[in-house]
Amino acid sequence: MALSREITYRGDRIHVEASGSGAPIVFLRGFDVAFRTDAFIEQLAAAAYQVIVPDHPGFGRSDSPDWLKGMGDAAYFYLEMLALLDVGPVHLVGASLGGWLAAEIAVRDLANIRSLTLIGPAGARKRGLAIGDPFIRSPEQSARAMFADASAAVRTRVPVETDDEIDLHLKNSIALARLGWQPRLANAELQRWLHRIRVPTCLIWGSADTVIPLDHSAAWLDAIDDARLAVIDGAGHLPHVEAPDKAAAAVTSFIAGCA
Amino acid sequence: MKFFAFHLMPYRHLDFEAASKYEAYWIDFPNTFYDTEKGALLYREYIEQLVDAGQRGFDGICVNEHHQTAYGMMPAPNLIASILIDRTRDSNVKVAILGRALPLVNNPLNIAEEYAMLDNISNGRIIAGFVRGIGAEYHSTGINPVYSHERFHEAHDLIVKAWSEPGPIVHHGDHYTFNYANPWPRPVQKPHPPIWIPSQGSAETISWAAHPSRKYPFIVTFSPVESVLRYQMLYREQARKFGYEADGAQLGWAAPIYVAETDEIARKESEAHIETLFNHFLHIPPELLFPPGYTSVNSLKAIMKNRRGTGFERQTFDQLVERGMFIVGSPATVREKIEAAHARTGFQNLVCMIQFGTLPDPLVRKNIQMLTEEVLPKLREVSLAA
Repeated sequence: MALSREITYRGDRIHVEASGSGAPIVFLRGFDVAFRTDAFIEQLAAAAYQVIVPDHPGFGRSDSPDWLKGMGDAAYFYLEMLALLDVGPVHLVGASLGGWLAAEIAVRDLANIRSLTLIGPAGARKRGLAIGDPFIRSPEQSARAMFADASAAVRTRVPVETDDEIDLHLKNSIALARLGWQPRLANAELQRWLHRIRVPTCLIWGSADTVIPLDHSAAWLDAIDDARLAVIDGAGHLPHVEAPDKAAAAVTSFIAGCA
Repeated sequence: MKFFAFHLMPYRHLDFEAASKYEAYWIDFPNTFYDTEKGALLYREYIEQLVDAGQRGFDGICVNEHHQTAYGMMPAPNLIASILIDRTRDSNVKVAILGRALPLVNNPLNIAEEYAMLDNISNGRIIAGFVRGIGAEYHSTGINPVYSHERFHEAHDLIVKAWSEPGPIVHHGDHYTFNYANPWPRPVQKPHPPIWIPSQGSAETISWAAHPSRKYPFIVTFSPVESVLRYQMLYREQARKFGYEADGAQLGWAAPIYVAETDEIARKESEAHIETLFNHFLHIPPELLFPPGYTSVNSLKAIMKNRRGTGFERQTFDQLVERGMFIVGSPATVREKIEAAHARTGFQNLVCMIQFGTLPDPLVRKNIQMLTEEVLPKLREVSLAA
């Protein structure tokens, strides 16, 4: 059972959900906001972790602060947020654009980060290798492109039918563009400083990711000293949505060794 | 009323059958569809058409900016404008650039400089159009659509200030920063060239354009005539709220127009070509036209719910005529349509798209001739009388 709370940061309300109890995991989302991630989160909570899932500033039920102009602003916000949560160092897990955000936080300050798990992260790229374009497609095509298995896209998609659902969808779309349109899904400055991530790091990648193909993992593995890769066979860009059991097992088996 | 001849310069030799497997002729539509031999001739053809329109009596000739598309071959409209300025050098014909897309550049002073050069070369004959660029161009250029409005307003303020105030000036903004904004040359027209705002209309843009500090002519493009008139009335209402009565010269309508001897001939000659414009060149999925943040959430919701009109559905000749998106017919028919619209809002600028879709040169020339001989002179009398 998830507990909702609101944290007020400089006048803006940030919505946070927490479930389970144990060592804290903070989970940062990305393009998966258009899909249901409950199964993945439940699996983590069932493995005796406290799973804290914020709606990023500008997303979901959180306010859209004026100061949020790009990924750097979001990163500085989360450095403040990790201190405000007051749960001690956390296992930071980020997926897709949330993986990029997690890395931007980690290169700035590791004081409240015990380990870093990046699931199909944007943010760094292997030079010369293409990155897909989740912005150019219709919501239906985008949903399809995120998954290897078409039925998973349909099964897990958050409906966009009622007025409130349309509002939420548009709010999240704008917020995703605000953070990820330019620089497009990768930040050269971040990449120059990845060596500053001096905590155990695990990359979890769908073998069939067409948005940020698996080969981009080399950019992270080359730069971060203590990094390893877990490939989820047959999954697309959002393995934690498409194969929640496998993805959660990969996360928990990694962080269990980082106590 | 003043009459302007407008051109998109479409790549009209497109292989539509081969191209039909693509979603849109924009952004990532392969440029291998562009045949340079044909394209080079098209530039010549289109420039001659605009020069012809100027010589035959249009008050102005117009170019515009689009990127990475078969829809229009003018990614740098000022290059064409400079040719038109020279070709009309001993006349009073205005050259209107409708317009340059301010948010798409990273240095708006480049636009201030280019426009000022054109204003000098033409000795004060240019009209400086300011636009945001269409949604697809945010995909092409990588500029973040979330900041489209902010960048437009900041670039506009900077350009106008750099034109109007003695340089150098300092500009420290959210999107652009200059310690020495000092564009040479200065524009000939004082305080600066007339600024026009071509737009498909939004309450925010209308209110901004109508503000007493600007009073910019607002040119409604590519819209059903009822929408055009509604936006023009909204402009007038907004001006009254600001405490002044808008002049008809602040209102404009831009539409494709075709005139022939009779309604039947006009239809026969234009039908396929106008349908190509709306159903092929303008066929573009909404997510390319409205990237996140490009429009306000409320406008986007209205658009998504409505899902009608250009980009959403195929429009036939009859629908386009009925909706008043295409002004077509005999000289009398076309005059009546324009007069009827004019009677409702008093707009004084009619921007005539004289070539559209695949319309070939002989018909464009005929259109220009018939417009300037049979339509424009009589409409000038009407608006003088009014």
